[in-house]
Amino acid sequence: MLIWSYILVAGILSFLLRALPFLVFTRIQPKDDGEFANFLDYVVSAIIGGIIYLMSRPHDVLRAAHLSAPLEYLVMVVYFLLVFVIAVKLNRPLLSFILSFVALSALLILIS
Amino acid sequence: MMDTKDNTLAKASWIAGLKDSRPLCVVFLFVGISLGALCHESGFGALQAAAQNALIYAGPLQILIIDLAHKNDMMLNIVVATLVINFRFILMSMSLAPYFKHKSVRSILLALPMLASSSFTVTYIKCKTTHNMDLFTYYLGVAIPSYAVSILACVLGYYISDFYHSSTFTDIIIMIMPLYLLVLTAKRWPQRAPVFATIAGFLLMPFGEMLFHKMALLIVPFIIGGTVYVIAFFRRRR
Repeated sequence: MLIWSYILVAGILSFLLRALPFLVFTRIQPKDDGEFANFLDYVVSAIIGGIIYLMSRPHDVLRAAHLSAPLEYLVMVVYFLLVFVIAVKLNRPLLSFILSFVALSALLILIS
Repeated sequence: MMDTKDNTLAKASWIAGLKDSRPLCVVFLFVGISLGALCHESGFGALQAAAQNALIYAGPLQILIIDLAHKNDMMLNIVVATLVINFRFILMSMSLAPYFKHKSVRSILLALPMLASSSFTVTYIKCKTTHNMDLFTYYLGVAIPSYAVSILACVLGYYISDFYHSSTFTDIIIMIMPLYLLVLTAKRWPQRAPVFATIAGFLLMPFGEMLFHKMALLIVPFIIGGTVYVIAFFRRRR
């Protein structure tokens, strides 16, 4: 019973957090190119960067890529920046993604 | 005539969404199995594991709730953890709202439980880089398959937990997600300000975690977003 109450409370709150802006913005129509939209775009872009870091870190693929292991953290940063540059230069997301994934697998084989 | 055009656009958007959801589905298969196995080990029932995935649908919070349930923790802690960890959904929904404004609130509310960080990022970058698309239908194309795979994988993981062990292979597969999101971010180039904000978010998050712990994903983006906004504002004025 306790587990169900945890799931229900967290589920309802999570839904409300997702739904609130849509309920509010049916009354206030925000401009998608206004100053507030610009600010929100930068905040959300920073969240995406944070999510990319958090998703890559807990699994420790690149051997404890965090601040207590600065060299490994640096390897991860350099690798991700290289992937980004290649993706910009190639301008073909799927190809860049496959190349970077193959490179990561090769890197892991080398490390192990 | 107009309806035919709208239907063609919706169909094309749906197919584009399905195509872009493929990497997410692969990752969610493995993440879902891991979560299902974790639920089994922590004394959840199969239905509870599936319901948790369907109702909460946010990995970090799900793991925390499994942990708190195991300790019989206070309900207040669940409330606070949910508000802190999932606060990002308010910002995500705010960002998508202008692009979904032509859709009825009811259909948006029905689709919202499927909003996750990954499906948001894929849709949001599409919103910022494409104009001729039904973005709500595109979002459904991305979100529905990944949501379904996640729930089914969680149930599967629950039942095969005795045989399933996370391995380096799983870890490599899970790296698909951040790489995919990074490559999609590159599509926004040469819009420099948002791309720099993403890179700054990636680089500064470990420092933010050191300073703000679980509040990092709440505080760091506002600091970065504010700084980038001020710089971009003065550059525009000049």
